Amino acid sequence: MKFKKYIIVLLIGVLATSCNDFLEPEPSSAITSENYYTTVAELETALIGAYDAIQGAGNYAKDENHGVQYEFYVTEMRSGNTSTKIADPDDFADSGQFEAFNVLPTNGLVLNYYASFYEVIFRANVVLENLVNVDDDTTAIEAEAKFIRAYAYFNLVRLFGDIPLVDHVLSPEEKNVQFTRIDTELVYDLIVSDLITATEGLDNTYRTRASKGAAQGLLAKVYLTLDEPEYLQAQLLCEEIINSGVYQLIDFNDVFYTELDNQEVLFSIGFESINDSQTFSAQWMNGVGVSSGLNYATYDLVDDLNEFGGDIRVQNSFRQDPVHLTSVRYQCAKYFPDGDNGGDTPTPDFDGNPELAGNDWIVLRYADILLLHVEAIMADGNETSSAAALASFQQVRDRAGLTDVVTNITLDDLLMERRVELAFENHRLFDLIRLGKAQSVLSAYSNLYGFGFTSTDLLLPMPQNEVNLSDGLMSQNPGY
Amino acid sequence: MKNINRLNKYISHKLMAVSLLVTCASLVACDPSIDSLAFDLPDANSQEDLTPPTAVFSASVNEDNYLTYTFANESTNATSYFWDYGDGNTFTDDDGADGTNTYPAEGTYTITLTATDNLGVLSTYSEQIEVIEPEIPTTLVPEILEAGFDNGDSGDAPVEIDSRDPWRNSDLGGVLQITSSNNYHEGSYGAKLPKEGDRVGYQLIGEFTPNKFYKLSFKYAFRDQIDTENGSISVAMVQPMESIDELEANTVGIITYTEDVAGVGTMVSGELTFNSGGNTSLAIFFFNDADEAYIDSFEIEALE
Repeated sequence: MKFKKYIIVLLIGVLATSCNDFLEPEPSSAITSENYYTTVAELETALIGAYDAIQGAGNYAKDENHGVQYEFYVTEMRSGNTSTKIADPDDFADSGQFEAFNVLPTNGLVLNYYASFYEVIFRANVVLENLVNVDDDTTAIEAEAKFIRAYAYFNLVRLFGDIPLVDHVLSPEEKNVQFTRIDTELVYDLIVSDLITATEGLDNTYRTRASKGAAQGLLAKVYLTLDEPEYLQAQLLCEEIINSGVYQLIDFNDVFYTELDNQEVLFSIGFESINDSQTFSAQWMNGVGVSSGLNYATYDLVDDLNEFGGDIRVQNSFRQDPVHLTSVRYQCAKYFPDGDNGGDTPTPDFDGNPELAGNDWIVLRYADILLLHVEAIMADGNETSSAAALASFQQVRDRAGLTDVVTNITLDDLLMERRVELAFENHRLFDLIRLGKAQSVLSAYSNLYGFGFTSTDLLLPMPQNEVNLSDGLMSQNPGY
Repeated sequence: MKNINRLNKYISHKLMAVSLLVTCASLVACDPSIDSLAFDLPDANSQEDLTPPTAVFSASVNEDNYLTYTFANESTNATSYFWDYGDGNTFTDDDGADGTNTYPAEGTYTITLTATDNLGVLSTYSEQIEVIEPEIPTTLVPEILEAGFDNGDSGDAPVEIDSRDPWRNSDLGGVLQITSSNNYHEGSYGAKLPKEGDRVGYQLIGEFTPNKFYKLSFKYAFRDQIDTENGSISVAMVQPMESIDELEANTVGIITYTEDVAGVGTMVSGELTFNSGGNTSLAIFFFNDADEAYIDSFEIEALE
């Protein structure tokens, strides 16, 4: 019996230590997000997932995110550049609300864009959160994920104003982070710091993924968009891109229809016909897709292109819809599905299925950078005759066949050049806002066509769905 | 009779009780301090106005014309608006005449926006703006140290100051020499670059205003030491350099004068006009080739 004491001690010891792993087994047959990312290659798969979220789904399902494929609704169609083929005066359709500046908080397309880009942010955050689990050098991966996150936030903050600032993967308890709107200034702080990391950690290997040039270009645009713009910083970034020799202007039509090694593109969202395709190219045609025709050029845009664009841009930016015969309407010619415009007969005649188009979506191209360079030099003045600004401006015009020598550029000249150069590329609304012309230009446009523009229409409504889910945490934008 | 009396008694008891009750009840009911009885019944189906209007707007000055302001109505929960722009102009649409107002002259104006909802609840917001013609920002002109080399080198009075110091850069070339020879300087001393062409002057100056035109002027001269060679002197504005290999890439503006055109033995004027571009600091860099050259009296001015 004298061992009894020792046996008890031994038993207690065994009992106290043995259950450690027993209750928390690592699953051996499943991979979880906590234990998956252990190598750079695995992190890269997560990065590709973030690009996939920007691409969005190539269909029309309401419960799927459509990413950048729906961007034209919330940007170009609110800018006076484009509208639906046949106006919808009662705004019954979500798509008809944009051109008339009568967007409702319940608009499903607004919600889709909002959800899509927070999905992008979530996926970028997953990459960033797992950097610590990888022993190898993750500088480039971090830079790329931060570029993606900044790109998403820059779009959201310009469209919605104050927005929830999510810089890590949220746990279910963090409802306040998910719904509390944060001042735009703080959102821009994150965007700037992410993009600085991106410019330092990236090279110029890719065009459909983040690159140094893309990060510099996006950062330059961010600097010009700030409440107190950093003109000199923006100028220096543009000059670094210009002096890098990596990019150049190419034939205007080739910008949109050559995708391999396109020297003009700094960053585009890649699509491939059939397997990884997009639907926006089809949607902008007549009666293909779910609508009778979207993102048609307004007469306002066509008039400006005809007067100021020059023949090359007139021929390659739009065409008269050959199918629609009851009135004269114009379609975008920059993104014909896989280059196939459906022919010029009253019946659309496509070789393949236009809804499986592979056209890439160009986010940043060199002409944009050259015009941003002019904008940075003009700074808060109304005009410039600086040689560097004139050189950049002249390059863009020369390529468009407008070779008359420019000796002075006014703010209005710059805005017009951007309109005719970058029509249908989702820049117009942001350009008007950034250059302080949105209210005057859009008021005049709206009055002319009997639309309902007021200053509060410069921001979209927060999606009603989010406001409802927030239990009062999320406020609505004024005017909605 | 007995029955009647009984009845009377009964009724008076009851009456007494009822009147007591009424008295009590009326005493209590009239007391307004009892909350539950002071309640005022609402009209049918009415609800409290949980969303009263809040008037807010923002004002921004037009880039093209300082007298014109743009107003953005940021009011919430309101249906009609009244704008008073403070100069006698009033409007009732959302953004008040599409949100622009041009003031007659400089001055301080108080803008008042009154927002009303359909229940007639008002909210008023006022802001003062000062309409004033913006000053044209002056272009910064940097200072050049020892621009005339007039303190000489450490061998000249004042000995504690060496005019060459701000111009030294051993990465780019040897330090310049100081001269007091007649016809080859202005003031007390000037700079000399011997015929070997291995000495330079380099001075980083700032602050420049970006994208402005400047003129750098100076005096220079050649001395004919080598008959067969056509000497030259170059003056450049460069971005900061660490090696002479960077000269071409870093040059913002450069001018070269040659002996055959400028002549020898007398000081002549030279100037370099350049645009500061995206730079807030730039260096003056000068060097010679093939024959002895002199340089003096640097001045810089903004042209706009």
